[in-house]
Amino acid sequence: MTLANNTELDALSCLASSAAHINLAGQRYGTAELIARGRKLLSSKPHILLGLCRIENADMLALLLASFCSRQACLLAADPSLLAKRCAVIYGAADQGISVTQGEHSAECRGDFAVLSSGTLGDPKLIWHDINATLSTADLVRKRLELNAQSRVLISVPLHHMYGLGAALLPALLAGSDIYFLPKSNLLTLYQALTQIKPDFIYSTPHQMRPVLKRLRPSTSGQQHLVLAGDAVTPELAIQAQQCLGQCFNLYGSSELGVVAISAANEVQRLQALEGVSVRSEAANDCSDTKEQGETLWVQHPYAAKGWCRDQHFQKLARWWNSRDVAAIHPDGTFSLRGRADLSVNRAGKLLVLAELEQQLMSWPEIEMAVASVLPQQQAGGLTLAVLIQTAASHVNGESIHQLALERLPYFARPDCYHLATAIPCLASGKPDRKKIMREYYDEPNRNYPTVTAAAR
Amino acid sequence: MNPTEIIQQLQRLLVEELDLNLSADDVHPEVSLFDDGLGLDSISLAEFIELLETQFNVMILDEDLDMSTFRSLTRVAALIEKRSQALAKDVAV
Repeated sequence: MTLANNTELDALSCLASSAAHINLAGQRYGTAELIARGRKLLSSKPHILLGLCRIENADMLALLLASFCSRQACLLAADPSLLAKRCAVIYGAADQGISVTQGEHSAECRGDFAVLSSGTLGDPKLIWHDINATLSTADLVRKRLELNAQSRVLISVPLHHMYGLGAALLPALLAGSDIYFLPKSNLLTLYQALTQIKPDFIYSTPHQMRPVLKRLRPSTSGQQHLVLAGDAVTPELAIQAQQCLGQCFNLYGSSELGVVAISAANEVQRLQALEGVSVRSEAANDCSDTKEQGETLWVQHPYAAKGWCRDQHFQKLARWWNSRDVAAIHPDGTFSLRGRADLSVNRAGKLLVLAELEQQLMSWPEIEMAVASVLPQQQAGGLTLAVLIQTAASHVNGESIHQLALERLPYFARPDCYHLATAIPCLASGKPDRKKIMREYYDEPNRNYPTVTAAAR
Repeated sequence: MNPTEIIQQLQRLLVEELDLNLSADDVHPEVSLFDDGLGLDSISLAEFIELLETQFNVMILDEDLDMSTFRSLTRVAALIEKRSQALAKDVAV
């Protein structure tokens, strides 16, 4: 049963009657079976705010689906301390079954479920969504990607974020697909899953897939679809994915809006908004701390979150939402993202989007990962630009990268200093942990830069 | 190189070459490389596999990329030995 065939039915009915199966840790579960199991677990705890901490086993999946179908409010997070402040009861994915903890106090519910923003740059926000609205977006994703009951869908991203939940799990459930959920995946489990399950659809991240694609043999069928999200989806990575798997899609969204746009196959730089979603760009002028320029993307989404909370203060989501991503809208209506506006800087009168610099550096041989940071110290051309480079190659050093930068980068994009690391700190999502990087590499008194200072631009 | 020497070399790689804040005491031959042991994430595992190939001059094949192969250093050492022997055989032919 899908929304497409049953427009009269509400989205939750479609979820409850889904014919999808979920394969997890060698076991296969029907959706109805999981919902019934979750309802049983919830039976003694009606009308309270649930905290679901890391959805990694069948009981946690069951609780998630049952809370949706019963419209029992829940918060999803990876960190139990974030739930303890807000929820009466917290379920955690302990290695042996579920564990139940009593939280400190309950909070007022503002929707059916809430996710926490990644907090890459600041304090995480609690973002409240309506499950029917989220399912409506999920159905648009299902249609766009043409997921169906024959699809074998591998999900290797966490379900407590809108990517894993709203872009992967819910669309696959609505499609009645065969779902393979791989919590806590690593190179080996992901590689094994790709070669043994042979999924039609793979939801992953650039950071997870980069080492896998380096080792994967080129596809003979070319029938697999890789869905990636995040600003590290580079054209080079997409080409590798195309050669190894067949088709690569770039998905764009946020914790506030859910899925906003998906690229056409193998055209990762051109995003097409979902049906009913409107986008426009507008000059950025309210982030004076980074002196940003360029145009940011504004989105009107019919199924966006209800609003968000920080420090108990609830703020309704505006009709038009400023994504704070620097974007270019093309004449055909598609758009390209350059990176985050608050991660861009004015250098010698030019806009430098850090994500673009990072992508350029990562396209060079031997550089596995690059994270650029803007430091408050002034240089001749503006604020100091520092880059942390991850490389396993012993012959790569700050001086050699500096030389390449002089040859290949425009003057305004050349970093002022470099630091090398064998492993850059990352969040669970695979994104670089910019707060930790700043703390460990650049903040006083831990400051240990520069490895190389670029004297000449 | 015999298995004991391979394991010693593997211990050195994990402690000195990967930025994992491990001490020599953490890395005993039967320790798991995964969450129930050293806790290598996907990126560290990829780096470790690349180091195996460069330091031991072997080719890790698709069929070797298996959780059970990387369950302990003893098993990784057995893999290195197997791949070294296969390489020596190829060269002899």
